[in-house]
Amino acid sequence: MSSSIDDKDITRELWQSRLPICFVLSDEDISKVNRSELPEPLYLMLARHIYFPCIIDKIHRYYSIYFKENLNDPTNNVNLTNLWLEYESIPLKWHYPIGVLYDLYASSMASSSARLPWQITVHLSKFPEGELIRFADKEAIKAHYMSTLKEADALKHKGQIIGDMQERDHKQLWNSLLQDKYESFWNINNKLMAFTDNLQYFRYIPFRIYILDKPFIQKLFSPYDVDEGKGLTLNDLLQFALNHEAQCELIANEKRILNTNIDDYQIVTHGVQPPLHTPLQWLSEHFSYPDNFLHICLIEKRT
Amino acid sequence: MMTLTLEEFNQCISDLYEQSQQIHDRWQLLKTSKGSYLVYSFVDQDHLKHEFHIVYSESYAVPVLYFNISHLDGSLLSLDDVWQLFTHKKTSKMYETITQQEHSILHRPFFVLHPCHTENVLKQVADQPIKKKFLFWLSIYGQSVGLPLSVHYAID
Repeated sequence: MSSSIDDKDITRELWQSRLPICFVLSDEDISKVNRSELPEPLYLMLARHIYFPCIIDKIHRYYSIYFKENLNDPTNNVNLTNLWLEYESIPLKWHYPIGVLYDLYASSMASSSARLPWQITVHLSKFPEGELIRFADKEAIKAHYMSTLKEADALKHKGQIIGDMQERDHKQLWNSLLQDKYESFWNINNKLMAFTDNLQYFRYIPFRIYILDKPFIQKLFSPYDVDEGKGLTLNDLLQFALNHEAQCELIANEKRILNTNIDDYQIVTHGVQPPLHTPLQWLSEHFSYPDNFLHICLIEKRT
Repeated sequence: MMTLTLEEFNQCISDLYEQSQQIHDRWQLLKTSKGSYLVYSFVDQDHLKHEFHIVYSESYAVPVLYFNISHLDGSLLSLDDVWQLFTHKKTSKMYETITQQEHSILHRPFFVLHPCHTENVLKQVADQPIKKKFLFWLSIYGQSVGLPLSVHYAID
């Protein structure tokens, strides 16, 4: 596998991309603040590829000042462990990377009223546990990240590479992610981009495709067509996923079947729109998130 | 083979369901456009509702056991509560075994026993017929999280 200098620039640039986010306390919880002044919005510049639970400590610390006296008062239901985030009435699935949520719900492609900073509402009560995963502490989000990473390696290499890694390599990946250390991260991540079993490509490409109001699409897909003897492209992946999803909807007798015409969507990942003819193997090596999955948002073009 | 194909998995859950019907047990078989899965639920003496799902993992080509435990008012037990229930000691290893994940078919939070070690578990019964492998897996994983499994399933 060769990686030109340009390719490295790409992974580094993706690593460095940030989103300005403004956290605002919900109206419901503002009414429970017991200080004379109300909390100002909290502004943070966050990496697209990390997870909201990674900075939950910061948000906790910020709001705890305003609820000092009544944090443990059971009558007002304010509890920092019940903290959750919402955007336009949608509880944010914070086990997805921040950039994925933004591209899907709040980017200029997704919404005509989109603007930066991205304004997110903080709730301190009524945690929607039927919808959101709870992360009690950093270990829990690390465990979730590691399990996704292991799944990616199971798809790419039958788990052989991550299985051979030491615990300290796992720690290095996670800590580099938290501490924003690109070199330290890729020192280990490069191993996960290797080939095994005499293949010149990954066994299957780890990917998740997000379409509004639908659960993500994830299926087995090889980056290489053995019969045709050629590598497959982003376009091939998307067509396969859309067709498969439409099939499921037909079987389930859904009233509306999704549009399988790729031209009617904007294809967004990391906030950019890669060309559809991009080789899938290359895309997986360079555009995967730190969990080694491609996370691609399909946003219907507005007519 | 240490793994199961989707067809083998579907056969196993179908067989288990048939047997369950015969012995008047409470396994349910749910068929969706995204795949079929088994569900078992009961309420324990502390009025906690236990729900178990057996779902196929395409990524690992093995069955996966999802579960949730809830109070009768519907509120879910936390990971800490779950651990106390199963008297596991809280160590970092703990997180490697049970984590909360998005159920691959229902897409809402469930606890799951991580499937990355399932292949090793299945190695112990590598030369057994598929059905025995499946039951062996279920008895091991299910036992650790309180899933009752009648001995009748082991009898052909």
